[in-house]
Amino acid sequence: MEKRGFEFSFNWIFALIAGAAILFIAIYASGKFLNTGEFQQSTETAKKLTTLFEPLGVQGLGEARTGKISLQSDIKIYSDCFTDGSLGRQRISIAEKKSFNDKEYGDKGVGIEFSNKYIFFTEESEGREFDYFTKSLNLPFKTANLLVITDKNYCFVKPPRFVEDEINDLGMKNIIIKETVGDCIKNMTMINKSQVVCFDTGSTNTCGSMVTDTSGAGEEKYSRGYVNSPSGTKYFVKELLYPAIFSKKTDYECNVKRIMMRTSNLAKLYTEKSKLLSIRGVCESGQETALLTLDTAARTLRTSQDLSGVKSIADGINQNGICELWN
Amino acid sequence: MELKKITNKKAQFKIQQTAFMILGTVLFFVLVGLFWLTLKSSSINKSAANIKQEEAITLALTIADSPELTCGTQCIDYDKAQALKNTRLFEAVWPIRSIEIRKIYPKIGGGTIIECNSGNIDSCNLIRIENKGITSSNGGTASSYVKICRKEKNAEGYTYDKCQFGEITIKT
Repeated sequence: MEKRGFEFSFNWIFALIAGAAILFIAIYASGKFLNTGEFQQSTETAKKLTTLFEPLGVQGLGEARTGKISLQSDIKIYSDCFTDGSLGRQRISIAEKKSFNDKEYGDKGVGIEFSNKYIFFTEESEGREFDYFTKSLNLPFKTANLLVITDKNYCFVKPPRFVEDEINDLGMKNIIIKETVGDCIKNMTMINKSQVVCFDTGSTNTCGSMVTDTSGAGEEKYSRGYVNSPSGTKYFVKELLYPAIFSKKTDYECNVKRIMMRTSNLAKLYTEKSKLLSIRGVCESGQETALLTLDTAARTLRTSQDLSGVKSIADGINQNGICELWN
Repeated sequence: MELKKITNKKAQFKIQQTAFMILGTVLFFVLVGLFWLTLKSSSINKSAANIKQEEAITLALTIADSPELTCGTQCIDYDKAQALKNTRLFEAVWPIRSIEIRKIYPKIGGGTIIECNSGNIDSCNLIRIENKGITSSNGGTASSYVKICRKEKNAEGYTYDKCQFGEITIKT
């Protein structure tokens, strides 16, 4: 009887095994290359973003700026804040949308750290377009520029006149001003409660954040106060009002501590400058004691609740007109 | 018997052929991988160098406005710069190798570099603030023109701002 069958020669076995191995390696390597590419891209974007923020972190006294950051692909921004060292540090990491999956974000790239910028993000910042605005904080000298980055539209209910003017002057298109929460809902489609910010009006049922003014007599309105939001109560003074509204409590508290670390270091720097002017025989500023008090108050700040005390000390420093240490 | 010997030799030859084939295939992929890695690492190095240079340029243009140095727009406070040199604050604020602030006009020193200290304020032309913690030299370098101002007292005893024209160089 004739046996019919297929001869499975060594060549065939080798071809099958080698082919399968090569295919597996090729698929695995392409996956790895893609991941490495995404990781590299995320790291580069984070570095480019922080370089872009550099000029925004040093604008002139009292200046405010606003603008839009547009990117080529969707990103998710992660911010980590630390209070170690003499100035603390903030780390920005970015994850980009996966190449073949529009819904998922890839791994975070390498975090880019800096200690001279204070960036406040809204919770879960993601998208390809971000609005930003900066405000400089003076306590009493120029201390830092506060950079606030948002990815949503907001509605401010009954804000004070100066906030309204600032929003209009800067042309912040992602913030609208209304008299009631109802007007916000009417004017904004797909509005979420977290996007409604009420100034001494409304209730926690309708407003995402409630801003309360605690400024004393003779002080500018809302120069001291607190913001109640789902992440907790954040106390503010002066320009810290905006970061308190837009950022989450943990980030806010950490960045406030970092700003105070810088205030303390700047107070030391101005003390040193005062001494140099005195040694050169130019003038006597007479500010050393006041600067030391400010340095101590800023250095020992524990939470944003202590900001009010720092503001009172800063407000009490009056520069000697003939020996000004700062402009 | 003879036929078995021939078959054995044939089989040995096939095994040798296969081993060489596997070795060749592996070598080919290793070479392709190495080539890809070289290309990739050179492009990463290039983009890192570009980013560092961009950072140096941005810093050179903006550092004069930072609270630690500024006395106005694009103005460097001489006394703050000296105070910054005396403290270790610089190293914490900017993770860069050095800042050099050079007085350009009026010309001082006739081309010789004279570093400033508390005793030679009028006859020096360079303030150098270095970060001794950074030793790598593959960063970027960029310069920008600035005003360098300091407080002085005139003959009548009034203080005024004395300004000179200068250049700030950042090495990242």
